[in-house]
Amino acid sequence: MVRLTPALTSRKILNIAYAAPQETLLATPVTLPTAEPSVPQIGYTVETADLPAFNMGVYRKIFVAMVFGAGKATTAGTVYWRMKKNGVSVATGSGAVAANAFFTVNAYFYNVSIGDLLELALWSNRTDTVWDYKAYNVQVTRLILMNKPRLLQPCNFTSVGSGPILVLGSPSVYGVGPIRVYHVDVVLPTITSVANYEIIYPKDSFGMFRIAYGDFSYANSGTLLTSSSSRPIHYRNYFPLQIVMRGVRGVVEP
Amino acid sequence: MKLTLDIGVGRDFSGEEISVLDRALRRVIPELVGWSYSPLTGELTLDFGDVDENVVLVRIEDYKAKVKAVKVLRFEFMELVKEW
Repeated sequence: MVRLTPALTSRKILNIAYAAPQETLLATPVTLPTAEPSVPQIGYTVETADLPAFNMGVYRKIFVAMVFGAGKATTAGTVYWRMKKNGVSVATGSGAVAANAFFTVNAYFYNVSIGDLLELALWSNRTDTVWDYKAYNVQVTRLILMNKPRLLQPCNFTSVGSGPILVLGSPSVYGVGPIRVYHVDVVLPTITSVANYEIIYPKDSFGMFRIAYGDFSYANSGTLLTSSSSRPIHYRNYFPLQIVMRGVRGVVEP
Repeated sequence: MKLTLDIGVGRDFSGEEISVLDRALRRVIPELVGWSYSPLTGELTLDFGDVDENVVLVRIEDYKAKVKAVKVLRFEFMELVKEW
């Protein structure tokens, strides 16, 4: 007797749960130094509980950590920042801040693992610039559910959310980056809500999708945003909460 | 509005060098609001704030020359992206 293997796998329902952001609003703002501090003011160590959780084993996933540092200038000036991962400089930058304006550094660490120390140092060319807010959150990108089979038919993004949702301070959102879905490493039109695909073949480079901020833009980099009234002011990403799919066996890699 | 250029994977900058670089960038590009540089990827992102995108688009080659970039990578306006 011959036992046949079905061409399609069972229906897979992947649920992704994202941890709530860690936020701190200092009761008393702290003045920024006028030279780079030897010890960054803001630091987080990546822990298991910080990572997005999956209801099944996932073949490949890349985590992007977002660290935010915010404050306010009294006199117009320049705020400088440096991102460090495990003590090594990842990116640097600066931004002009108007008098009495708030600033927020949005720093994105691409490909973090449990135990990584992520730090953000802030300093200013003025003596009256302060910081009083920090936050941290982790998202997932370039996910591949199964190594074999890779071809998914269909692949439906059945639930989409956005984040991080920051609540402390007086938050505002500068923009929400769309999801970029990939088929054989070719980007499809961006999505911000539920979307169904007949066929998706995730390849090693980009997987099934990429998030906007922290992968497509600002991977291991950051930006300083300013606002006359809001702190933090930040980017959010759309991200999948649920993907429903079947794998197709016996397909030669394109 | 942000323009990302490849200036080559280079050495890291000290805090003092960042101040010098910041002044140099703002001298040659006075309309600059902010910037970021990753020594890991060599990507320099110039942030022009909320200006008319056409003003920046027509000057991309000029900015590329001013920062001695190898290649123009990306231009981002709101959530629209043009890639090279």
